[in-house]
Amino acid sequence: MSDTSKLYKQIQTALTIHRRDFRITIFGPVLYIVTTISIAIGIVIIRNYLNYIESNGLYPMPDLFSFPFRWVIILTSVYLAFSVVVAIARERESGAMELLFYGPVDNVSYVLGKYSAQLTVYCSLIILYLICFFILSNIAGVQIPGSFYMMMLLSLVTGAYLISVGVFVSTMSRNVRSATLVFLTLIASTLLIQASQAWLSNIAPESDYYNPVLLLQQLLGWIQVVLTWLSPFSYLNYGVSEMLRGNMSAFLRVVGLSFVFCITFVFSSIIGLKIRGVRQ
Amino acid sequence: MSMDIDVRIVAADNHDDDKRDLPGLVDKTEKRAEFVYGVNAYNGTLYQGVFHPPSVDTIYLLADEINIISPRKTLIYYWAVTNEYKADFDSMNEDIPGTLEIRLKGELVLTVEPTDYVIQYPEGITRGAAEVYLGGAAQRKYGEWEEALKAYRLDVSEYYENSRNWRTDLTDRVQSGEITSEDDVLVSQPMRPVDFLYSSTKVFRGVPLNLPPGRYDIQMRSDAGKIVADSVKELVVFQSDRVGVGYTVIPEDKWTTPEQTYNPDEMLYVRSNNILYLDPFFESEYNDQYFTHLEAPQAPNFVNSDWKWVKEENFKISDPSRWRRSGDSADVTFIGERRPGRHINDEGIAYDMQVVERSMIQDPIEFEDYMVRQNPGKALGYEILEAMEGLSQGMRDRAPDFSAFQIIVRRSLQDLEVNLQGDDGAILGGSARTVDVVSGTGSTNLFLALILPILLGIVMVGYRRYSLKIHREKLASPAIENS
Repeated sequence: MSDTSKLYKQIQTALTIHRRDFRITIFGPVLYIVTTISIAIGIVIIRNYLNYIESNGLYPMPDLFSFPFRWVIILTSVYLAFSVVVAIARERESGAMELLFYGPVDNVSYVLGKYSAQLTVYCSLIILYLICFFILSNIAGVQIPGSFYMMMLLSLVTGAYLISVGVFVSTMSRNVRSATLVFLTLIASTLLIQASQAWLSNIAPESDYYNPVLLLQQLLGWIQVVLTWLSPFSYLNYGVSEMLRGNMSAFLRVVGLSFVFCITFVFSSIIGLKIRGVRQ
Repeated sequence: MSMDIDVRIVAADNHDDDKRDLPGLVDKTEKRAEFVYGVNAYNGTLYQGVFHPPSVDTIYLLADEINIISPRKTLIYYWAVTNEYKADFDSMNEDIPGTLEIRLKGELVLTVEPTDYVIQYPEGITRGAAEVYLGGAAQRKYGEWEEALKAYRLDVSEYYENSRNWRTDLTDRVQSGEITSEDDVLVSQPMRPVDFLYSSTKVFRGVPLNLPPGRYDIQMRSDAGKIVADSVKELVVFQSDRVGVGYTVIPEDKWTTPEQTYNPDEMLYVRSNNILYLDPFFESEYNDQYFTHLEAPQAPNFVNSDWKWVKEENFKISDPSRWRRSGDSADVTFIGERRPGRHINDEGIAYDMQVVERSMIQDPIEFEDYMVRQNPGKALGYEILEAMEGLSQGMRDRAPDFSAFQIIVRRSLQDLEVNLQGDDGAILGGSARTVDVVSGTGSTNLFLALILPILLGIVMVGYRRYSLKIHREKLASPAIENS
């Protein structure tokens, strides 16, 4: 078989997997439950802002929708990454993956198909969120600034990066339980470290708790430095804050780095699946 | 030259038995003589006096400004209340003779000896630019300041003397019926001397440094040619990343709790039917880590350094020296261009606030003085009046409470773009803001947006179930036919 024909077959197979997974995801109820919860959380944050403006008279900030949108995006991308972890691990555990690999499916088409399906869902959800935020903008009488669209662009790559991490974890895991455990530990620890570090750094030197937690604060600080270079959540926050202060070179660097990590993890997943094999 | 560490426990040295009986009065802090750098660091507005104990290994200074580093030997002690070292300069404050060596990437770039210096604020601290005088000029300017202070004291003394005489005279004239109107009293009343704002430090000794941005290493070499212990430190000289125009935004109904807007092009989300007063100020943005450690050397290190806008001088119509505009000379720093540096003189250009509503330029708003008048009676309340109106209503003995641009946010108003425009039409860089008038409709309406994902979910899941049902029926019907 020539290379062109092999590549064509791989693309065809990847597209078939993509279509199948895309349909499964968008016709399932869980996606809409997660979407609704995400938007509801975003609305609660916006509502708090509006209540503050109503009582205080004014609130200066770069973009009222920036913070709620980031929450919506983080929840959605975590869900999509988690669902791909479960989907791939379950197919391996049930033997479906092995069955598929007896056919025209190989590691390249499988990973690309799975990944692109989740990515397409993610892109569709971003469009859905955009419509929702337009509705919110009209109801609240709050204009959507240009920076919001830039943030959407950034969230596209950071979300894609997180989903690629999910694909990688599942291709390297033995079963659903271990894949779920590894992925959730990864996400929870990342978010927990970021939150704890932010909380601990707010403890003033005058506080009674300053000295007892100093070592922990420093330790978490160093972990946070590493996470800044690895975590898609850090990339999203850093990219948005730099974009809002007009530092577009930093913004583009974040977009570029997220994209590079994304490609790296997808490529690693393909290699990983080949090494790890399709059997449990 | 190595330093002998002189450890003393003050309570033990004092042998003060009475004090020991009163734990609250006993000073149990362990003091020891150490080499420290006393630093007068310019923070963009004034000189901040800080000291760097041996535990601090980096000194942060602003670039292209005169900063003074003073090598000293003093008593330091750990103050557990604030978790930091304190210096007891009253007990010991020895100048360390020698030269300060500054290295850049290992190469010696500068050697400076301590000299006399004085820091003065001719218009008053926080009111005008600081001036640093070195060497002989320091002694001379300090002498001038002392003379000015003496003259002021004499003026004050003379004023009180004249006031006493005037009161006595007034009483006599009132009793003799010479005073016929209030104006007679005002004209003859002695004038109080203008407040003495001219401020000065004493003449101290220190090493003046004016360095370009960079990471340097510094060390003190004694007259004997040896490196003074604990004098080796890193010196980070930094500059502002951006400069801009911030505003203190005063809502009419909460004038005592204003908000600040620092970021250029930031949105001001406001409630409709509101009056806002925008008081502009000059600002610079610095690396938060650097700036915080410039002002507080012993502050904990940040892991992720953010950026920090620092408020500098307020907008002054009569003194344009702190303001610059877009389109001026090449060495000007503009917002967005990221060319750090100082702003230039605007040469007397006055600024109005330009307001753009629905792409239509509205009448410019002038910078005005305002007075706040408390409502009479026990009920809380106040009103904000234009200064002229306040004067006409008898508020003669007061200066204006604030000066600002007034923006009236009407109910029908759409979003506004505001910025500062010079009288020659040029827009002041970094002064633009968007005033977004937020709808006052009940915020529970926001939850209407949830209908979209719920509806989409119902449609998609419903369609899937329906198509599966049809599919199953199709599969079932041939089976029934076959049976």
